[in-house]
Amino acid sequence: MLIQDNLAGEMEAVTAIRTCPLLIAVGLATLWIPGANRVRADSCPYACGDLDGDQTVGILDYSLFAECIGEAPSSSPTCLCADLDGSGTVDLHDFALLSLVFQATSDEAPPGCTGAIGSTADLMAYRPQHGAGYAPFIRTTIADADEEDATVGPGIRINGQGDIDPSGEDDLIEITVTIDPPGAQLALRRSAAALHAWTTRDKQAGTEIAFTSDKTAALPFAPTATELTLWIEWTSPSPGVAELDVEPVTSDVAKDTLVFHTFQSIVMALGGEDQVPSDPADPNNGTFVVATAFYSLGLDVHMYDEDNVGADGSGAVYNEVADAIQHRGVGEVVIFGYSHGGGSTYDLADLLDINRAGLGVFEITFTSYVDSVSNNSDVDVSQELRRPPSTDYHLNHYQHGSFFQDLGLDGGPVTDSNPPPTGLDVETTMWGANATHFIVDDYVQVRSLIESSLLGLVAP
Amino acid sequence: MMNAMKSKPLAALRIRRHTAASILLVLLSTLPVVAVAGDDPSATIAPRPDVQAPITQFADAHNEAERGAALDQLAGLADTDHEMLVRQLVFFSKSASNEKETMASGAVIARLGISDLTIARALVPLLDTTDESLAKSVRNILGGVEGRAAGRRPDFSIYREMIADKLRAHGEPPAGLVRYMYESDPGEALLAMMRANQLRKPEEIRPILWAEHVVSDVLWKQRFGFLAPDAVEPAAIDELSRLSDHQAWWVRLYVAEILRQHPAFRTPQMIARLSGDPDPFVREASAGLNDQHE
Repeated sequence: MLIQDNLAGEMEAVTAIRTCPLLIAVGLATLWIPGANRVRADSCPYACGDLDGDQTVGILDYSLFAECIGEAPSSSPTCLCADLDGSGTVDLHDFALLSLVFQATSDEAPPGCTGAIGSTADLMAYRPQHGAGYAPFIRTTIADADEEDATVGPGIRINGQGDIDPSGEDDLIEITVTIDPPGAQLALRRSAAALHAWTTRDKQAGTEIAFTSDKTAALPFAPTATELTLWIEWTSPSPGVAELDVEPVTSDVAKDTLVFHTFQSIVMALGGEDQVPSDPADPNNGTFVVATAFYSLGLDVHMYDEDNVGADGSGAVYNEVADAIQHRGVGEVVIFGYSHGGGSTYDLADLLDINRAGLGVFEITFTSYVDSVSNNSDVDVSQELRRPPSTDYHLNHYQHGSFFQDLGLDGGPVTDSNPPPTGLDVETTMWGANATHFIVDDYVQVRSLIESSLLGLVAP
Repeated sequence: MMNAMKSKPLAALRIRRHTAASILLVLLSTLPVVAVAGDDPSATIAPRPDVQAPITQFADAHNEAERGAALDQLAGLADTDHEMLVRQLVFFSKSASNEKETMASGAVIARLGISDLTIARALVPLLDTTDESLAKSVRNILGGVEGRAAGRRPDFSIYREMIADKLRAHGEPPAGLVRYMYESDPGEALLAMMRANQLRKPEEIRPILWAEHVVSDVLWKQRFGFLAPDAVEPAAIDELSRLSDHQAWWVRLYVAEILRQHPAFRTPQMIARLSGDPDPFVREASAGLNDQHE
């Protein structure tokens, strides 16, 4: 609040500073300075004039500067940044340089400041692809507030050797770099050699952007362009977290940062008969409503027609999970489904469990049935009452309906399920008393319990 | 008065239903036949209005009595021709526009207790269809009658009997069924064909059994990590090579299908032999082996 209150009067202060800058700056020296403790002692890591590292040059930077006047640059990390021209003293020449970049940005960093106004740059990342694009999901941006979060921020699939990519090359994460003004010379810096950048989504020959000492040359913007799309790849077989910064070619000062983390889990959502995966999901397809919510929250979610799981568990869904376990460092598997998608949840878990010796180490961390019907074929209408083999946590919703209401299609109690002991017959609740097979997956209460149960158990 | 008040809407309802049924019959008469191209010209699903109407009524019933009546009507039809009813149910399911209609066919089959053998006999002739969507449905449903499950290979015994019937009558096994079995599980297909062909001499049976066992053992080792996915054992290649020269086409077809599905077993000699095989099934399964062999 203190910061906001002070900033509210910043424009008035600017006028005053230009009249008597040194006096005002000294007067503000007692203000609380956020981010000041982030300054490192060995060199100034921030752009010219940005003494507090908040990526703006404002009145708070003036107050910090005032504290350093007459002090040796080596006396504190902040004063090191205050010696803009690297003369060895913090003096009026430094103050003049600071005034030139006030309320602007600089692409330079101390001690090489000339007072030149710099560019702005913004990075935006998207959720993972599926096959040749994003379908059945829509292209989903990651919020600015999350882009440096190693949990809900940009997740990325390991794309190491041996990765089969059953749906085609789709492991690269799309990012956009937006700059102002056009022609600004900006580069990427990575914190780990596992990160690679391409200008094509499928890594066409000659389209990789090379890093030298973890920094690229100037990014290949068209002469008048302000936006560039790039594709980020994680090539190391080892999982991890890594930063990608955009910064001026001439300095190491980050203008924006993305923090990538490799996915540790994979989430498979299986709908019922005649339910088509889509985003936004049909509100009558509750499984896919939940799946799209998880996708937005940063999980590596895959939506499938349940027929992609054969009666023996094999098929496209199994291939995707097996590839993730064997080649992408995924150790946690989540499967949930409705109706025949519940039956397929069982079949998939069963095959994964049987094939453990050939797949590697993984956990089936979470499974969920909603009115699960066995899926030995499209005409199978028997209840699926078996607990998915080796699942750590099984959630079960069901209803009992009637022959007239829903052709007698029912899930049922499953041993050792949640809510204990055998899951929830929604017809025993106020909200689900009139449930039938065809609507049980759509209750917000059912969807919410799947979401809250899973999010407490699974890391992205 | 109460009765009169009730009877008027009921009568109106009956008229509306009668009208709806008439419209349905007219619409059904315009529906396209699901085309099937194969050895058996009768392998088609032409929608029968007198069957599609009660299936529709069963799926979209407004009350318990209406659904029960529709089921009774279907049971009556099924008494005379179960296989026809199964095919009509598949047609209905394929044409369904919502989950309830899609699931209705399964509910009818379950309620009428239609056997797996009936389902197989009804659908096997459709395996030759050029309609991809129909073929997918048929394969899906047949997978159910084969008792497939994770860790369990398909049980083709239900087809063995159908093939043996044909062979005893000096006919050819259904082409679509042969193709389907070998594509699904070449080893189980080989064993089913061996029994359907009624081999009697142990010295004829053992080489086939042993070869299938050796190859299956390699596949088992690959599956569970005892061998790399692209690694094979020389003994398995020897067995396949021996079978690729077998006098029975259905044995050579096994080799061609194994090579097609598992490139690691291929050798230039086997590919050359199978590509020039006199049997069209074998040649068909061998097509492209050369292109993929490195």
